[in-house]
Amino acid sequence: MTWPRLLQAEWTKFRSVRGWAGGIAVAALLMLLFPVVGLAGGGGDKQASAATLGPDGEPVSDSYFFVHRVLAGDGQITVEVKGLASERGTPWAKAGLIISAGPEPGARYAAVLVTAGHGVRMQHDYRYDRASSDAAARWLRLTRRADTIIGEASADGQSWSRIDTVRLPGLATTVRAGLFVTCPDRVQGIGTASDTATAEFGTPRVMGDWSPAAWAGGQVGAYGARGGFTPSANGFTVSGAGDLAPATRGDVPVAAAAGDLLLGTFLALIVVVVVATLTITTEYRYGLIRGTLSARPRRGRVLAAKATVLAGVTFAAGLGATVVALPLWLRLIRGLGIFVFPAPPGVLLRAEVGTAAVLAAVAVFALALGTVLRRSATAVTAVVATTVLPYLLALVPFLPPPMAQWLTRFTPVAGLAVQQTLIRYPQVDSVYTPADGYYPLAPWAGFAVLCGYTALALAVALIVLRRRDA
Amino acid sequence: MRSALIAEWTKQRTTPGAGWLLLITVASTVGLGAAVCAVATDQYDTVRLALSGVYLGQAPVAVLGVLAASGEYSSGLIRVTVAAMPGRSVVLAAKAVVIAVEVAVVASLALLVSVLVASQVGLSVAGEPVLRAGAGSAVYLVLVALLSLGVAVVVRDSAAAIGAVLGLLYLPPILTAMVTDPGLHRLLERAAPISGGLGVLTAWSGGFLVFGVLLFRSRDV
Repeated sequence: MTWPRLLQAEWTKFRSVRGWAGGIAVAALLMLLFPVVGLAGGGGDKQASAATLGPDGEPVSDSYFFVHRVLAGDGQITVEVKGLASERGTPWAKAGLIISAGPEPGARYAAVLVTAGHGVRMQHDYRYDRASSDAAARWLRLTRRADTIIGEASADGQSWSRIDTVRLPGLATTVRAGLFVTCPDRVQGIGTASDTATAEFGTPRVMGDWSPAAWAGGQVGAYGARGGFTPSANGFTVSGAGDLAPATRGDVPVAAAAGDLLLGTFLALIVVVVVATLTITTEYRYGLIRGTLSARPRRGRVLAAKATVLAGVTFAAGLGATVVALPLWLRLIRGLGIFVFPAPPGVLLRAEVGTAAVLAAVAVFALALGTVLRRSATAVTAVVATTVLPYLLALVPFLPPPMAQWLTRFTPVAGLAVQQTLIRYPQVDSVYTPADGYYPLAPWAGFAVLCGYTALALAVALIVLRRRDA
Repeated sequence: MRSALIAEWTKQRTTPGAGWLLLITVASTVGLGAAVCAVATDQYDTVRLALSGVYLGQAPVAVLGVLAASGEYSSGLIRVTVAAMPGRSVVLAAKAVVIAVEVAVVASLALLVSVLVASQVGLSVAGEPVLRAGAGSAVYLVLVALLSLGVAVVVRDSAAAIGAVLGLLYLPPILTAMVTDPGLHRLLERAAPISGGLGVLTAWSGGFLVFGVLLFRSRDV
């Protein structure tokens, strides 16, 4: 029998069982309708205003202690950071120089800074970060030319090396610039502990049109009253807490991630697994498999045809559901005033296509295990225990966090990484857990893990199917 | 009732799958518990860690419960069974008793070994709390088996039944993690078999068993 005829035969079997086609339709519907559950309590203006938004519209953390003067036009500031320490030793404690575009939260800025554990860096506009080649440098310099800012570092204050040149579009002529210290919470296991950093600065040297007033200190952004500064004989001692960085899910708990809206995947997954297992186990139960195999003695091709039909149907149904559900629900919840972490269209498309692909891969996995085990109940349980249970265990709060990382890295659940729509910034330490929408593997790498399991199961199924009497 | 019990026990004893399932129950419960304990330290809730294998062990227990009923439907044995024992409630009661006893014994064994493993790797598990939690977990597994039996009698198809049971057990915790509304969150948590406590699970199992008896009595096989 030719391959198209084989496919046609399997397709006919699939579509003529009312429960199977219906099951796949139900799975798609569950994905489409399910986010309504998460919404029931949503809405309210307090949620939309909870996040501080940066220049690109993404939520940011913008709080630090600022010792500043006013600079009109072009100018330069140089300082030596003599020491930086924090109470709990947070690696991303920061001290350095900053030029800020304005007092409002989420304003543009450019900074060159010393960190406690990550060397010397130049950062600007919250998301952008570049490390200096000289991690031991202690002298910092910021130069403003129109809307261009140059950051330099030096080990001795004599020979300077440039870290980065950045543009702050629309930077006003008169800006505030000076020293800053900030310190994010220390990540400890599954929680965080607040921390305060203190830095010793030398006397800043300035060039250009700086206001004659003395250096003034103040906390930027709401972060308690843990900061302060005292002038010393030859410089300043400044302490501060907070962060100048993109916000993570943990910082803005009321905000939603686009990936949350694909929660129905788990419901759909169980339905798909049941249907996919039944497509092979019912053949065994009713003895149809003997007819199938005597009509088409090449057993590998039968299995391939079944897998193709199943994968095609679940992928199409899944894609249909996600492509409609994601944009629709995003509009709806934004309309309710819930803040959603921004995600570019490409990322959303990847989540939509990826989720459909995960459903298809799990369906083929279930088909393969159904072929090996031949009994519906055992096969369904095996697939659910390997594809849904690890995710549940990763969410269970009383299990140790390394376990959650391991489970979402090495079990078929790793495939759900395709649903990650949040960005994991290397310059921000946070509790990145699957429950918050952060997966340890890159999206398609996670999907590859799932495909690996599927391929392995298919190979075993093929061997068993060929060797065994039907 | 006595002959019904003997009949059901004979079926369970001679079905090749059942013995394997019980073995898998012990292995998976102890295995997951040991894996969790290996990476844990005393700073966590050690009793819950030691018994966390139940999350995996309940899956084979559910299969056992489902197959006890749906296995008869798929092979057509159910017609012989009800022809020989027309008292259908008695048949179902006998099935429930046999499975409950079987699971109670195996679950106690599995949990006992889990606790021993946990104390071997150096976690402090001892005394009355672990005894109470262990007994509770064994009862939990028995109730899961009964729930599966009830669902299987209602649905009559093993794949659909096991899908429903595992969905009921595994999905609510995943959904509760995502639902933000506090009222709905609490409702889901309290109504879910896995987190609502033994009383809630008893209600689920009892409800499905009663519904199963009513359907079983009124329906053609």
